[in-house]
Amino acid sequence: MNSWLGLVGAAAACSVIELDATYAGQFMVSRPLVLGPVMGAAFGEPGLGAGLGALCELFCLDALPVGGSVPRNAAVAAAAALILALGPQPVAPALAFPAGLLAGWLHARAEVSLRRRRAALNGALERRLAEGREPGFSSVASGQLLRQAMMTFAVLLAVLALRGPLRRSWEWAPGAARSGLSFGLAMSPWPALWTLVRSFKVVS
Amino acid sequence: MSEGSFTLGMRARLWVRGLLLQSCWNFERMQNIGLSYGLEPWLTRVYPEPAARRAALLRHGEFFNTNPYMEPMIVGMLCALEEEAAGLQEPDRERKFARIGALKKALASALAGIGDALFWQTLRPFCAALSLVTAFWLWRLDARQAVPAMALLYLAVYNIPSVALRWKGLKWGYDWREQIAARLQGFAWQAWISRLRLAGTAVSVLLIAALLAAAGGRAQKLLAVLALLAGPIADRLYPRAVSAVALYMGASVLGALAAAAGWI
Repeated sequence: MNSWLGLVGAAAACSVIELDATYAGQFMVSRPLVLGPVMGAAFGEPGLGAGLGALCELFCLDALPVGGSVPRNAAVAAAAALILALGPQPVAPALAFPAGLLAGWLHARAEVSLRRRRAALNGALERRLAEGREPGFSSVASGQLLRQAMMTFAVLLAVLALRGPLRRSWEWAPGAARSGLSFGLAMSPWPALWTLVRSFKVVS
Repeated sequence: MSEGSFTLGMRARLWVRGLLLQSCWNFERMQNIGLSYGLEPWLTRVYPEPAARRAALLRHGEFFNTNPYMEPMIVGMLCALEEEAAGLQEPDRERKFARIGALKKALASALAGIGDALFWQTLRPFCAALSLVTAFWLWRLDARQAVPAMALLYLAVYNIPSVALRWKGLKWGYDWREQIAARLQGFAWQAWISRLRLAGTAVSVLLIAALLAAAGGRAQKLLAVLALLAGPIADRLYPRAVSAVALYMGASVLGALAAAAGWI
């Protein structure tokens, strides 16, 4: 598993698991607190997987999927951070973590675009029903799930492609920048824990 | 058609299809396609005539949005009411359809509020807090199971109530029909949410205390306390809640400045 092929396989698996976040099931198997340890264990670093998973979980707790809002994708954030930080020639966790958060945010923007395009399905289905044809819900639903998974896979493959440049940029970055990101990562559990406490104070 | 038509097999089909409620989520009508897909097996049974079934599917293609864990209650209610409507003649049937549409809208909105407060705002962070504190104590005890326990506990504590509610909700919706809103009021949702929030706060504070105690020397503890207090202080200073991402970026910038100044 600890190879480039393993990383591609992990990206593919996470693309399918990500569907659980919103589109199929919502059994929370896509949550970073679950995905992180699993991915970490698969690559022989359960502690790193659990640590980055826990951080991503807490950092994405305040983003609620209610109404039309599309928050930063927690599953993609964790998967992206771990795809960078695990495996051969990894990126430093101090850089992998913010890169993962950015990937989660970018994925959410792409998802907004996908959701907008899906509005065309309403008219198409209505026309089919009005014309006396079967709606074909199963193929429509499976097609949309496939698109979502492919979109997630594309995002994670892009992250994978950036491993080398990110690792080199970390090596070349000024010492102050590296120290800053390392300090930020070391301090990150505390604002994350404040977010956890604050989440219980939200008024419904 | 009698109540015996809502068999275990039919419930299982509706339940499985309910898992794909959000498969075609769109901004225009949100979960409408998922709802129609979910109702299709039942509508096929109560409207054996294809034109009537397609008309029913068209009716359920309007805007629909609710919490996915509460959706089975609405589906159960719709199954019961569509079954009643199928046994009526015009114009009673049209009046029933209008009533179904109005009830669906009202219940979707009401259950969305309860479901979002219970699952997204309370149970999910509670599971995070509980699994993290358990993993921490197992790790302190040098147990190799700390990491898998974290994931398994999260899944178990979240899914036991949510899966049970989704399954029971279908039957409740079918049995209680138009009375479902009144029956659900007796569930004391807010009391449960308050209890869970209190428990979650207690577990979170326990976790913070444990982590602070485990932090290295005095300087590290002081830094940790300052980083922890940055959140509530920032929330007081700014009109909106400051996110953990913003605080993390602030810490990174401060760290870079401190490193540039030679302090770290």
